[in-house]
Amino acid sequence: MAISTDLSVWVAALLTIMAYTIIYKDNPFYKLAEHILVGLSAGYLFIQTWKMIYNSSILPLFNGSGLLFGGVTLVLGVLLFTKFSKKYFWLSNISIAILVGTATGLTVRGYLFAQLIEQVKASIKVVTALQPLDIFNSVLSLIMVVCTLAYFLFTFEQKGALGWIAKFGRYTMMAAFGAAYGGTVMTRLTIFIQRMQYLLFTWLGLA
Amino acid sequence: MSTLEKVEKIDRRIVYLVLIVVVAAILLRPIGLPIPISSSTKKYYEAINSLPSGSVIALGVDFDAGALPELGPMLEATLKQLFASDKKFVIFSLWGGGPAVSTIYLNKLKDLIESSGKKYGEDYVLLPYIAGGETAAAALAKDFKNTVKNDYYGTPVDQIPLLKNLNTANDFALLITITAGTPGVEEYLRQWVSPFGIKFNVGALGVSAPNYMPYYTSGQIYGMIQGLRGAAEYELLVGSPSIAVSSMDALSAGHIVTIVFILLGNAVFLLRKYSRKEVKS
Amino acid sequence: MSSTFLNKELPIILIFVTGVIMIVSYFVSAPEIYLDPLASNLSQVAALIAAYATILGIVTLAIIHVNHIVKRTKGQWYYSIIVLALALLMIVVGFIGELGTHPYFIWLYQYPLIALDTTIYSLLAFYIVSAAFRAFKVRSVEALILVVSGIFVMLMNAPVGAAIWSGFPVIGNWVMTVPNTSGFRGFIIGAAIGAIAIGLRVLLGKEKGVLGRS
Repeated sequence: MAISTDLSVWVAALLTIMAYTIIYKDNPFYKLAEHILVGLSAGYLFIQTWKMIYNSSILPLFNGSGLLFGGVTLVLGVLLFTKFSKKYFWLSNISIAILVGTATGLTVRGYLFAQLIEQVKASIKVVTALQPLDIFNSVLSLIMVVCTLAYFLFTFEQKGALGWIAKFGRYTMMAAFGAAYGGTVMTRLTIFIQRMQYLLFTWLGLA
Repeated sequence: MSTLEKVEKIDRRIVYLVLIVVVAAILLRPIGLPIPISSSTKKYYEAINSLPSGSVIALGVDFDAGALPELGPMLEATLKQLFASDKKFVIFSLWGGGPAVSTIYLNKLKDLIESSGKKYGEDYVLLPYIAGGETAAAALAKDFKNTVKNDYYGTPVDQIPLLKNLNTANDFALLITITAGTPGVEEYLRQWVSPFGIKFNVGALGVSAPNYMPYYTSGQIYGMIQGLRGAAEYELLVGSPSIAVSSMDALSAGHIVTIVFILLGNAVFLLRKYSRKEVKS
Repeated sequence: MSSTFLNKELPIILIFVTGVIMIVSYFVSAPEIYLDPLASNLSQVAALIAAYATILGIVTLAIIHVNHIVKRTKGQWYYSIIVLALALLMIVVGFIGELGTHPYFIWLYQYPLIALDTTIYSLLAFYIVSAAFRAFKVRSVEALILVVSGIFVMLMNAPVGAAIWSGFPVIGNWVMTVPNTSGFRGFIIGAAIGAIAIGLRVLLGKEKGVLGRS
């Protein structure tokens, strides 16, 4: 057993313990830890984003390799900051409009193929020449997808046959949420286990 | 207050203590349960191995510090497989934390990189963070080189041999994303996979893997590592068991604690419900 | 040009034109009107606008904390000093040498930032286990299905499940590939239809809310 003599490890370990004090009750150490994280994260993100802006927008403008592109993006970027002005805030809408229009065009065409058509194709895939269990699963899966979609049909009153179909859709969604819950438990426990490993092995040196 | 009521209203800090004690105990005294390997992890591994020699792989490191415990082991094992292979790769990121995380792991694997003989700029490159989410993914897919003017260390892209012939997503043999959420899988599906038909591997958080199953079963995602369990399986396939494998017993213990508490909570609830019914009748 | 045109109509026209360029370029290749390079450049321009917007967000955060310090907001102003001081430290160190590559910059990320970020995320593990005991009550058929499918997936994810009974991972895998896939596939199809409908409304200028105040 050899407790770490690395200052970096001690810094990380003490900050970890400061943040964990919240599980006992809310206290200034936890608030301090939270605000340290906010400050470091904001500074880090600033640098990474500025790097992209500098290399792709500002540098091409000043070294002549991309005058038009650099100039246009710099102007559109600076226009965003007019949002702080009571008189000229509407100028920022020009940049936002270009961003929104481009992103919307990309997502509309993307959703149509990658998520609508491909998923509908996968739902109606007929399994042939395979085990009876695979055929059963494919048919059951198709029924479950249709029932899940039927649950969100609010144009008609959900009673009678539609009521039963929607109910089965609700049960399907509950099974999906349960699976998501199972996955969530794994993710949260993973992060906790790794902090414990850091404290027990890296910091305290317990074998 | 009856005993059942006392149990039902137990201080949550006792529950926390049980979790801490059980996980710590198993970490200090591991059992070594076997880890069967799932088909989705095997496909992820095979997707890289089956590529022709010299193929270029696009590796999206799309997560930051918060997801490091689950996705870090996946990234480390992926880098180990890539450095041991005869493939080339380009690391980029749609998340701000990606470059720092990549740098940490490339520093960690310094000795492996040296012994692999792979040269920076010819066999692998690290690119900076590209903001914009879906627009960034689309820009990279359509015009890879011009979307990032320099690599992470400031070298212009036209001075980097590996990037010379990488113009669109078509120039890559495989896209891998190790992602904590959005932007990630769905953005790549819409902007890389659907328009260009590129093969797609995903390293996903445990919380996200159920959401991505429709894409995996439809074939849009080829191979998928699901959470820390998947990372442990992948470490075994790569032949380098590491932090994910060593966490498996503690993960099992944590899951058993959660299941026991669910069953216990429901047992107490049902017993109180029936004892109240008896009192009424 | 009237201020109404610049304020209201020009942004809607820009949304429509840029959106149509992106959609048409997917289906049609028209080098004679430079459609492909235009669409490609537009994606890059949009990505850079998003980057500037990120900087705007960080500047806004800084202004909020500066206001706390100036107004001496009770219980907050000293924490705001910490936030600004550490952000400035990270930025100054980040500017040393090539942006974001200095060892001290990586150290600040690797030790304090990772430790705090992962620890705060890991708190959810406690809340999940506590909620499993206190709140996860099976009061209906739906809750029972949720609990049962959750338990089978947990026993599939944890190696102990296979060690107890080989059927657990098999059933867990079935839950993932059949009901889970079907449920989320229904969501994906529904969400795709909704996203396309909303997207078309945005492109046609029917969703004014996307531009903020006007």
